[in-house]
Amino acid sequence: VGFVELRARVTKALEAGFRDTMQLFHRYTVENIGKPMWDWDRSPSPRDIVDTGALRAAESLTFLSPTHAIEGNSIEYALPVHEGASFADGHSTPARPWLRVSRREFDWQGTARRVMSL
Amino acid sequence: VTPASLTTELRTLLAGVLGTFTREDGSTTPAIHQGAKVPPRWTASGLEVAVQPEPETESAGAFGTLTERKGLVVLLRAWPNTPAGALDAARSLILARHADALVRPLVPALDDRLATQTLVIRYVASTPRT
Repeated sequence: VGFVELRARVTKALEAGFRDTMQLFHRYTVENIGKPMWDWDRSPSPRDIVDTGALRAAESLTFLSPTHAIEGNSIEYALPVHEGASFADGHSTPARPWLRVSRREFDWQGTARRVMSL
Repeated sequence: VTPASLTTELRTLLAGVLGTFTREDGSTTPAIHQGAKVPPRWTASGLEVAVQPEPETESAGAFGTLTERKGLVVLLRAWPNTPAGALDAARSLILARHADALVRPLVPALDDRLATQTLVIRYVASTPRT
């Protein structure tokens, strides 16, 4: 196997590993949105961030290139839910940063090794 | 850096742009505190600064190594009568002092929602975790 062909094979394997890892990260993130850690006790209606399901349904993974992907959420109120919001009457909703927590807690190395059979 | 020392530092640094808390007895104090909410039964006007009491750990994922940093979270909250540009000025002053602070997305004002900006002042440098 020549160098050029070897490089092409390695590149292809890495790109496939990246794609599979990101797809598993996306699934992990969607599952995280439904976890009870995001509940908050705003009386009288305790709510989670799944609520109607619209935010979870708007979670998306977009590949911009074989090595560049964006995990995000397109619903218009995603930002205040993720970063928290305060209101002029004094009440506030806490930040529930499911993307940051997912990025922090996802097993990146273990998943990459597994999908690439390393 | 501790939440208390950062609060003290920001009280001086942001003196020109800070809003005001009014206590129940009518007395006032600069609108800076440690906590997530305006203290109970106080009212706020102008720009409020809240230093979160618990540090946050930020991690960045990568195939090779993960990096971790600890940081203190600072919340800038613009009440309806906040002078134009006060929030931007506060952010600039903090970044001039803490150049590697992480700036989270601005949650813009909308209807009765207040414009809010979060910054994370990092105080532990990156530590590789393999």
